[in-house]
Amino acid sequence: MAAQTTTKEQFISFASHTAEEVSEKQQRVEIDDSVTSPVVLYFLTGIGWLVFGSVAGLIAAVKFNLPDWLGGTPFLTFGRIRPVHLNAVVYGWASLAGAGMIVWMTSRLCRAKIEKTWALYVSAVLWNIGVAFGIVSLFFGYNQGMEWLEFPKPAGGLIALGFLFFAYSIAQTFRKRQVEHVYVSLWYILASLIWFPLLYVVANLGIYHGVTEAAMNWWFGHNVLTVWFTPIGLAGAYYFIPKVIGRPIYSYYLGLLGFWAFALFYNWNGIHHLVGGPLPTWMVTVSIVASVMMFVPVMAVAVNHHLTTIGHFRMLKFSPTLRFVVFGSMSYTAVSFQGSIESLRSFSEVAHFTHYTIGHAHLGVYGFVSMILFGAIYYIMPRIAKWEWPYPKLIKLHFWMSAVGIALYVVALSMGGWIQGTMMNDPSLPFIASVNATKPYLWVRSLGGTMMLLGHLAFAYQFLLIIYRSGPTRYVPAWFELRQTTEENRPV
Amino acid sequence: MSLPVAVIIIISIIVVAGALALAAFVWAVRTKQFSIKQLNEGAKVIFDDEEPIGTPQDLIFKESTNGSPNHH
Amino acid sequence: MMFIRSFIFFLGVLVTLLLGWAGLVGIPNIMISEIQPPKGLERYTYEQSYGRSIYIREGCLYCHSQQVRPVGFGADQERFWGRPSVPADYVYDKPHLLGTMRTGPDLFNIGARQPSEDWHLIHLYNPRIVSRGSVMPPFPWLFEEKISAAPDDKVIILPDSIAPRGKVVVATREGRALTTYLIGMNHTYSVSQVPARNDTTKKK
Repeated sequence: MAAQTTTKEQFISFASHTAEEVSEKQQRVEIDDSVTSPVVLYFLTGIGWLVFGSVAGLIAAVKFNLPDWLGGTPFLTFGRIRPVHLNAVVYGWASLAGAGMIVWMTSRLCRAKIEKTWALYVSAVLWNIGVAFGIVSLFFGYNQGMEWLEFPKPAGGLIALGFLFFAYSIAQTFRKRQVEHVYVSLWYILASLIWFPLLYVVANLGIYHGVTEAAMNWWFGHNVLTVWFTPIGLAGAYYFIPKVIGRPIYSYYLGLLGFWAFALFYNWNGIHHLVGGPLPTWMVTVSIVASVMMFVPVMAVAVNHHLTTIGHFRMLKFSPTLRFVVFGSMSYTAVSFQGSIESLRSFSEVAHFTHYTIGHAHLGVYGFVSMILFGAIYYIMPRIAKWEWPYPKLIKLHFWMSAVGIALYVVALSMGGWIQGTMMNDPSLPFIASVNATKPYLWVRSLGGTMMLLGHLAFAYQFLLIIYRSGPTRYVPAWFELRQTTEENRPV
Repeated sequence: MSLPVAVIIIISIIVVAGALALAAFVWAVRTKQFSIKQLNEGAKVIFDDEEPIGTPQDLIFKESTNGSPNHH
Repeated sequence: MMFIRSFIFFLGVLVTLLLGWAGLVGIPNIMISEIQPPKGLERYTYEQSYGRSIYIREGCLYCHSQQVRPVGFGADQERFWGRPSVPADYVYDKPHLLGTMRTGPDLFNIGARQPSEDWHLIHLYNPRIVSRGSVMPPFPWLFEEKISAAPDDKVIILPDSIAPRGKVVVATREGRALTTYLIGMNHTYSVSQVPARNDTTKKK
């Protein structure tokens, strides 16, 4: 059976009623068309890094329980495969998928075709080469020696340059916007365009040493979340939750307060990674205070996202995007509250230096950011590929593997890490006791990681199907079912 | 630089920045005559005539369970 | 009007980032750069620097910290890991290797706790030989097998179950340098700087 493709005309004719509606739909179709190639490029390469990074992460995880496994080769030693995992999923998957989401969303929210598409291609190429070069370097042991800043300077330079080309295109598109109001998601996006290059350059100046370098390291490390990943996640949640449900954000002006409180407080969090460390006490205290103050913007976001969703939970049954994005926004609230508590000295005394912090990090970058990115891709792809996701069952598989996987992961490492820390702080126990106690929890963590990897494989497979327009044909894109309103799917 | 000096500098920066922020906020309110209602209008820009408020989109799972053509 | 709004947004975004940097990095940098290196702390020797680069290459920082916590905060003092570390201890460290994980113990004073070159070499060859239950990776590539050792080779004695038949296991230059670095990790000299107060309210 030959796969039929829905042409643009067929696509439009399903929806058109009046000439006015045709032109608005036409406009949206043209906007989507203008971003198709660069967005697919970002998503495709991002998903490639996701699969690669998940495998690397799983290898690292299993080595905790089986340290001699693959132990004869330096390329796979834990100390190299671990930064390979981190950098692949952070600068590869999350950054590239986030960039793709930003391109599509900016174009839609500005109601303007994307500008300077060539710059996006250049960006994607430079970025991917930079990440690849950095990953290969890490395998060979070239490591700058600081977490989140491991890539050698040439790799980092390529990534930064790629980012500038990307920012150029987004900024030019924004200048050509046809809208009066700049939607909240765009605030986060535009802020990240200003913040991230500055952050990266300042961190790589090389003028630091000693404990100030440590302070810079963690100002940077935490700020990658502050200025790049959290804005990506929040931009996604602020758009997709109301859009899919069909209700505006609950309290939009609260979002304004939330944005500036976020910008102000989150930038000062970095030193909570060094509680108990050899730094002036006031620095640590300032970061703890800022971490606790994050309750303010996080509550603003929580009110907006959760109160918009309340009463519409049954939509989660029908919309994969909503499932992923709501999971992500709930994870944001959870990981932020957890982080505020975790920064307090009495908590940090136990949890610092343990697996607990790893669980927290994954709840943030995976449970929050990555789940929202999955939701975004599930929404965006049919609209630009002009093809529906062929196998909803694979989407369900992806969701449950990821959701259960990350839940197991975070619970296991939180419990195991807390026990580890408690035993570490008990001088009557030998240090090795704290290591032995974590071993069962580390197995569960590997189980969670395996599930996530399986989900990603299902996701990657179906992503390839949709860009090649394979799989079962759909005459009617899923969302046009709305046109035939029945008792069951009547809008709420 | 000693600790008290550093603390004074940082607190001064924060106070000045806070004052600037407050000034910016006051200016914004004055020149644009913000009302909460007006501010909330921004939430509606993501909708349009094709995809209006009140209509949920994205019913992929629904589509797969009813009898539409060529689903599997 | 639009320009002013854009300008305020741009300024606000810029300022929030730079303020954070100034407070957490810029000002501390000025304060800490005035610190003099302690008398007991020497610069790294060539071998130690080389060993330090191996430490970074193999990713040791992902499981080991190099910061001793003060009295009343954790059990670092009760475990005799050394006096609490202070900023002055790190003036020669570039990059810093403070670490954020203790899958393995803190190494800031490992040279004082475990000065035996043989122990470190065997431990690096395969940690489980000397440390049951350890999850540390083995580093066999820091060693080579030879038919017979040269006069200035460092031979390591392995248990019969692991030792290769008819060959000797000899540490490479890299393995010895890493060990030299680790044995040099000794910050037990005294300092005049007061360590940070991080104790919680409970007394020990």
